[in-house]
Amino acid sequence: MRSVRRLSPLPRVVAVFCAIACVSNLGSARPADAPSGDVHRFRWHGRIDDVDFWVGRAKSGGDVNRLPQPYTSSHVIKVEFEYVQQIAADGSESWPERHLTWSLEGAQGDDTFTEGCHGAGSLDLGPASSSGTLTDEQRNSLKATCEHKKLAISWRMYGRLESMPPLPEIPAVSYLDKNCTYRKEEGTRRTIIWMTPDVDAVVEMDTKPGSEYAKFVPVPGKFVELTVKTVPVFPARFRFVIDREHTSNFAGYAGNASIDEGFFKRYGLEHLAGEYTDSSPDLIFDKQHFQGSAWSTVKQDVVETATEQGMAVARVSAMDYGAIGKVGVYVQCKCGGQGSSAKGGAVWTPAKVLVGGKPHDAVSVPLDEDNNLMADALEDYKGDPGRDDDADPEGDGTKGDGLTTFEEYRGFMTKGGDCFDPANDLFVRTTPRFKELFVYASNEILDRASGWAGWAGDIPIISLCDRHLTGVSTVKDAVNNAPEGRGTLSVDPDTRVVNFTLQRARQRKFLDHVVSLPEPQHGVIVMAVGSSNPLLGGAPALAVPVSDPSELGPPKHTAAVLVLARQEIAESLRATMHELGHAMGIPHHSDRRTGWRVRPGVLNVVPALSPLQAAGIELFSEDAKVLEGQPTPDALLVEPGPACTQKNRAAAYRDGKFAGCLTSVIVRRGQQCSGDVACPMRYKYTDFYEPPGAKAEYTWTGTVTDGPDVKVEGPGTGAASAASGSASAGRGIDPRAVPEGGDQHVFSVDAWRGNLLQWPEGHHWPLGYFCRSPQGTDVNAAHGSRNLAGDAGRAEPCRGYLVVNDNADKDSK
Amino acid sequence: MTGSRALRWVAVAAVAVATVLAWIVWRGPRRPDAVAVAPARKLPELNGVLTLSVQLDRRVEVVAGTPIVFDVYLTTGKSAPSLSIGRTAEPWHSLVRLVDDSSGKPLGWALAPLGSPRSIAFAAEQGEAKAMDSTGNVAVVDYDHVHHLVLAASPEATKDLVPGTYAVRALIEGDSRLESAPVTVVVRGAGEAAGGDRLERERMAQSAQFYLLAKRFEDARRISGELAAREPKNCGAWMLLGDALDGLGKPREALAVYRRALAVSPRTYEEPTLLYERMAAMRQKLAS
Repeated sequence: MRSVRRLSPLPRVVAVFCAIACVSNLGSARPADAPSGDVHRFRWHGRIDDVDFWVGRAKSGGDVNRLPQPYTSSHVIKVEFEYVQQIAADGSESWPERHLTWSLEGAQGDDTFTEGCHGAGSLDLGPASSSGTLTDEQRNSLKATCEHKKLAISWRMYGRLESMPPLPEIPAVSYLDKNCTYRKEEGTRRTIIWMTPDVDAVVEMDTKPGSEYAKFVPVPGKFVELTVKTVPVFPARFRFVIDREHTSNFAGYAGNASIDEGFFKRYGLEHLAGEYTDSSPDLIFDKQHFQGSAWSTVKQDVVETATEQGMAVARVSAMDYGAIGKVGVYVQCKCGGQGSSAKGGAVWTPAKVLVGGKPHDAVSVPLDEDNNLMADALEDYKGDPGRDDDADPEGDGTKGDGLTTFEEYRGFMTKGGDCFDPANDLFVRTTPRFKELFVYASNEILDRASGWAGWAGDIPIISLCDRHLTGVSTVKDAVNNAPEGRGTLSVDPDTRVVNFTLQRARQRKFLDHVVSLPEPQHGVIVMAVGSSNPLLGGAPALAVPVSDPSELGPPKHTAAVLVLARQEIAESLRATMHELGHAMGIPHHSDRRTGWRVRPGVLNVVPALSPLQAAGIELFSEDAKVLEGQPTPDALLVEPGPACTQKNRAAAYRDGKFAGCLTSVIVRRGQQCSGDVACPMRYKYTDFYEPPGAKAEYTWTGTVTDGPDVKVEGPGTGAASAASGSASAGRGIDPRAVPEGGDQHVFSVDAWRGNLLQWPEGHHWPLGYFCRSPQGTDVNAAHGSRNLAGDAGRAEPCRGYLVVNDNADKDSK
Repeated sequence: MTGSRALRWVAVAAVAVATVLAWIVWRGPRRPDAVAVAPARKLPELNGVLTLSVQLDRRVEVVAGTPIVFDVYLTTGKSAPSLSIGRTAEPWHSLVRLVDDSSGKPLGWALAPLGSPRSIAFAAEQGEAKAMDSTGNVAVVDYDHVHHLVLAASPEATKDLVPGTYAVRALIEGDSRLESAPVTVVVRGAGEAAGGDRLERERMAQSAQFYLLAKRFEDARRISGELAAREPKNCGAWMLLGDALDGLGKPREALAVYRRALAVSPRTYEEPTLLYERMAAMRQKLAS
């Protein structure tokens, strides 16, 4: 048997401490319950097992058994102990804790005697200056109870049973193997002792305002440093693990940006191209930060130090503007850490995580103490991430802009210059307090004009490139190949989507938090088109509805806003603002909106509507469908009155007699031209108008000439006949050989009368905000006959209709 | 005397030779090719955004004979410092070049400005949004200004274009270059069937619009007449024809055509006010 020298481990261990401390110049991070000062503690665990069973017979000469009964002897002794050794700064040694559990069972005997010993106990031996110090009382309590019975008188020599468990003998450190374990076998007795340093691994995250961790907001390629240290300083290996279950893996890297080649280029992550995919976690260990021999394992979701050291620093990189996750830190101290696996090897033990001094299971990246998936660093994003309650501008009272607070936090890529190069894109986190409208404009002029629509409605316009929302090319193709004679454009609801990354992935929740809403939010595509495009139909611009021309509402209802190219710039600006107003649910000054359905009010009399207006049929009503596709009059005829005399340049004749004045519009009170004259939603086109107290009334349908010398047979008998049969003079034209005109021309007309006046040309119409009041301003507030159209025909101003939330549910009845 | 005069001439010649040599030494050696290079045009450091579109888009397919219209926009980002480009003798739009993206050589498509270059200023004054158009030679390049130039190749100029794919960039050259991203023009041959009918329709529509902008009203009338005959329910085709007739001084015929356009105008939430305005204008012309 090799004798065990009881040597102090002090010199070697302290030397290790000193070496590490001197090299690493570590700070004073220390768990609250750790010993103070430079006191170091070591925990010695051990087990002693002694099991024996023996049977024999005493023999005499000639191999004849002289005893009728065999002699038996057995014992089972188990000792487990845990001693704590403490070495003070002055090198003095003490044993502040010693705990020992033991059991002993023993028996022996033959036909002449029996002897049995048994005992068990758990002893707190208390502090001592050396590991083996026992008081008499302690020694007595370690004694087993033994009983001896003599069955016959004999004189034989037998051994004595063990009546006291063996006491641990702590070996010198030099006797420990590489796993800091000491093993000894001596006869039937097996002893195993292992030493673990009483060391904590601590990750302390500073959450004070201004600290790097507290300020951190996820941006692809940006990182947070996690520092783990052993306290007291002790060699260890460290492992950092991205907790996949609690770490996001959102599609793309922002609300409207997918992982593509441009992503790696933009954020200087070319070295990850081909390795990082959309299925990778949003937080990773970027291999660029883990080069050299210090790291043995470098994967995107786990890194391990190669050598034992007193501390390690790992950089956790965000790969998504909405990245959120947990990072676990583990330690494997020299000498097996704080435990052993079932196979006897060292295990990875979780490090203590202190975030702002409070214990946590793991490190949250970014700092998210309110557990709402969003960085605490950004004040705007507190509370429920799934809410969508943007309040400004108030609009029609519908809160929200179709984006959850989390989506607004995760943000969007937007136009930053020329759209060709994604490197020009700008990232924007939108605010959950203000509604926004996302717009893709096909040229710079329309882009600016769209911005002014935002100015008019106090609603930020987010300019996008085509790659920032879905299906732009699909919509463009649909616009450029639109069929003739239709004013709608059926495009897939999957086009124009702004928050497409989460919507396509149908990711509604993460960690029980709502992150996206059931319906996608759409942007508005604003396109310049040539005058040959059949959709415009003679208008300077049009918010082309997806299906029902009577529906106005949030952007999902608008396939595209088309603006006639190469107009006067002021007209382009006005038209773009006007149509974007429609794309945000604002009807004309004449109309109301119930749910998404437009309820037309009093409308200007125009050739296209005159048959309806003459018959008292409401636009978009079921009755109006009867007249769809029927011819409309070429013009309106205002019957003679104070503003329509034979001297009027638009004088027209019927049967050679002056019959009235041709026009294309009779402005009525409270219709599209009414209200605030600076409002972009107001029509500025005027000609004849109803002054206060006047009212235009339909009289007849027929044909007239613009000269007095032609007789035209058969006056019409009303709007219905005009709609059903009256031939238009222009209708038979061969466009390839337009006949040379004579001196006069024949018009089919609907005639209207009333005390109508004619508005002078050349009036300057300002272009201001979407109106805040239905009251007329300027000429619409003038006294007397110079009042053009009066107050708007409905009670709510344009601001009161604004809505951008595609998830809003409205009852249109 | 004769000798001293000769000496004097020798001295004068020696001084002249020495002066020339000194000048050569002082000036230093010159690269032979530098002699022919004109001094570089001085422009400020360019920090703008030059955007190019073709047929109002970034990529277009055409058949030969389709006018090709490029829109060049010069502006800058929200936070970029402003700068000025151009001067009276050398307007900003004269500095714009369209080049073949692969070779860098000027695009040889007989490009010519279509309409006047425009400098558009956006501003708000006392609650009023304004977009003001001017035609100055100096472009103030900032976010509130968009400078717009239209360069076009006429149908005649593109008639003989070789089928193929052309990438075109706009650039402004000075001490530094300001380049646009390229746009793509795919020219299809007459025999290429894919989208042939659509491309033929586009040729007619684009030609009609080109001729109107170029004030070639007879050509505009011819081609828009063909388009309207082909698409009799297309209000826009009739409007083009009406505009051509108006340009030819035929308000009566134009009025008839506008009425035809009105008859096929689709029922939308917007009134066809452009048509109304044109019709009113024609009536006024007739009356006067």
